[in-house]
Amino acid sequence: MPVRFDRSETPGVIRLEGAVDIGCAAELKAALLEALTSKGEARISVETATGIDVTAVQLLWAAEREARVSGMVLALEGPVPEALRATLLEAGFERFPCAEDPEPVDEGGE
Amino acid sequence: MTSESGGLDQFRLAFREEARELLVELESNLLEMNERPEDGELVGNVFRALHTIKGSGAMFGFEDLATFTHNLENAFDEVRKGRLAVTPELVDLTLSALDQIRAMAEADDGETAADPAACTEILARLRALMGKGEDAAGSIRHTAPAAKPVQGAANELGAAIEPRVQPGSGPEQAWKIRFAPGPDLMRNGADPLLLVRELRGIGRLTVEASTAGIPSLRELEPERCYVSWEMVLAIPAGGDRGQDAARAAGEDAIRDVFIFVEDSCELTIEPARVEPLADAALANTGAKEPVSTAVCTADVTARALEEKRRSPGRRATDQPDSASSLRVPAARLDQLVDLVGELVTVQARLSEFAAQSQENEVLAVAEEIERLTSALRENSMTLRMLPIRATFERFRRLVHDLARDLGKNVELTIEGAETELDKTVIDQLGDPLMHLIRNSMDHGVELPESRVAGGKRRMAKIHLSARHSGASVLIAVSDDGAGIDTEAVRARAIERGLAGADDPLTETEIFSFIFQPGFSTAKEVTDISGRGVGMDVVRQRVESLRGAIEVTSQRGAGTTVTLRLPLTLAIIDGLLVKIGDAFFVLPLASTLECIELTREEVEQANGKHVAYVRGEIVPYIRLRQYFNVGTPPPEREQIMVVECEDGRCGLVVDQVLGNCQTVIRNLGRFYRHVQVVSGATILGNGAVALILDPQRLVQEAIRAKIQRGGSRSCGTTRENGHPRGGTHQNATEHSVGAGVRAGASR
Repeated sequence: MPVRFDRSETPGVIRLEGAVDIGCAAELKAALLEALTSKGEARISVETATGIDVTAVQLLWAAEREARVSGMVLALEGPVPEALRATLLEAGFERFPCAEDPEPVDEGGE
Repeated sequence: MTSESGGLDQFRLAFREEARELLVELESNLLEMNERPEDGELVGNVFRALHTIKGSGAMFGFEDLATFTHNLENAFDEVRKGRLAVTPELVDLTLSALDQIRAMAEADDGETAADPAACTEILARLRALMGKGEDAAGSIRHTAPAAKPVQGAANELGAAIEPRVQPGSGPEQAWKIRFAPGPDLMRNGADPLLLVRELRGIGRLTVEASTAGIPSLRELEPERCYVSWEMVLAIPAGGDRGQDAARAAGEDAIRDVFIFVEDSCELTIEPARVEPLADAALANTGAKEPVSTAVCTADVTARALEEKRRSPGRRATDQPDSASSLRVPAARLDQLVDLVGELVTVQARLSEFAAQSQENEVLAVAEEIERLTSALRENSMTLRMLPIRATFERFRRLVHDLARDLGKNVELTIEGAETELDKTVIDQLGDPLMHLIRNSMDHGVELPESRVAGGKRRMAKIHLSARHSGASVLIAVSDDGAGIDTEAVRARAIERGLAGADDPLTETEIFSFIFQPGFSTAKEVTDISGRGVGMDVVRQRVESLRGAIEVTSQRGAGTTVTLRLPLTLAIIDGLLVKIGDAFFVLPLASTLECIELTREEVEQANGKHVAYVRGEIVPYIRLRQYFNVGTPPPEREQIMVVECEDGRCGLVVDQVLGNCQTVIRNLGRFYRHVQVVSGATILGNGAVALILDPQRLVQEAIRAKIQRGGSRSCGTTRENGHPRGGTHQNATEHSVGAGVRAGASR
């Protein structure tokens, strides 16, 4: 299951695993909507994700924008795998969404 | 897992179907290329078709096919760039290669049905043509280009793709590209990130993704792409080629990246100013980094492209229409038509009961159902109608190959390729047409020297044509060859005991002998014809389709064989008529009007079977005489005026009962020689009605008239009212009682 919302932790963590693509986009949207209803803070972990497509990127982008407007924190937990970073870099995205201090994708990582 | 592999099988089958179509298109374009080697559009068509076969072949696991095709694609890329000339040798070589590709596409999983030795030879000759003879020994599996392959979408799918425009130092041309995926692009499985990645394979890319179009999370449709891209691509300027040629090649290379999605995105490609390599933006692109394997791909993309590539063309706008077609197995359509046939029969019963009940509400419902059934029938029949183009086009290759083998110069011309007819008819036309063309090529068309000596063009012509005629389609194969030697046919027929030495034979009868089993006037049997089998196959197949064959030939000028075939074999609109107690159906498409025939008019005609319709003489056939119906005729009979090849003619019946949708049922083998009846149908009351073939009825009447020593015409009239030769008198007076007893009675 590429999208898993771990509510047992505080704050709750949406864990993205394996290939995060159009096949799980609806699921990711539901998880993000739920995360945005939580008070204060939610985290997203992409540590074990092996790939990402544009549907996932735009969902994360929209969620981050809404979290910022509503004053909550939606941030990445753990490092972004180099493969994901490279994918976004190649595709012309200026940074990885939900990176806490807006971190340019080309400068982050190892 | 099972469903996945099942899905993949389905896609492989879809690929095979598509490959078959593309190969026919390729053959046709290649053969035209022989005649117009300078035609850039043809070259472009061939290149794109090869590109599609390669790309989709790789996606669905036809790796050998993809790699083999890649070499051909490279060759035609060279042609496109003006570095390789179109020669008969290249065309022949490519045609041979297509045979191997066809074999590879049709092979079962894990097997290669192609001939490896032939493939190796083709590639060796191809490389020699391209000036790369040193690699001539490459085999199918070892044909990957020496250049470092682009690590793009295509190589993940199995084929190593050589960058078509090599990035490097030197002068560059720049292109500004704006790419905005349409709403369904991702749902169809395409991945914009892979396309951007593929662009990197052809030059230095500056890319900027715009997230401005992303809506709120709640409004966002998860499977739709809202991101768009602005890119600048710098590619080598093209060395010593002209600026225009280099620009065209550059734009083509970019468009090829988007070839499968152009119909489902907004794409603009414009020349731009070349930015210096040190530009900060370029420095950020990561163009030289290895492409990671992280991008989510694959099956989704495969499904994707499979769907989108259906629509040809290069429109740069989102066009929902092109995405709204789908491919359905023919068997499902057949099933649908069968079910509609059953529905039509049941609806006829319902209408019958409703009429008997005289209940207004029941009648209203029955009428509504009749209307809907009729619309459903027309729609479902339309689904099976296909243009005959693909069937015709595939004979270009046959003519090309036979002309080469026989040492003859022959061009094939095609007319009416857009004519539509039922798929079940089209499916059975291939063999008869092939035999007719082989026969024309072998026996009809003369050798070039003989043609020149006879004052003809060196290049012979075979003409394939199709056109509608009422409820039929006429398909003709004509040649401008030597024509049929009637004396030789006649002598052979007498020799075989098919005719007596003193029989007065008409030309039509003489021509009919050539369709007899084992009949041949050829002095020697060749690979192509001469065994007397082919024309027999034509006759059998046309008869099984309830069609007819007509031959016209003029010694020294050529021969035309025309096949008259029904538009459909399933359901037709008919007019239900009654003669005595029996019911018959006349096809509505060939019926012009209905007029009364009183007993007084019959008596006044002094035994002549002619009527005067608005000043025009129309001969008629009395069907009650024809079918030996013994009951007395009514006071007023009805003449159904029908349009036939020979003009207008009347068919006299007792009563016209009205329109009926007619599901055609075969009468079976016992009735196959009954030409005037094309089938039977079950009426709403359960009775059986015979479906009459007006054309055959009239021809039968003419034939009988001729046999009794009259002129050819049975007095049928053309629209101008002039009879076609001969007299009208007693035109159809004969009671042609040969054959069929009346249909079942109520």
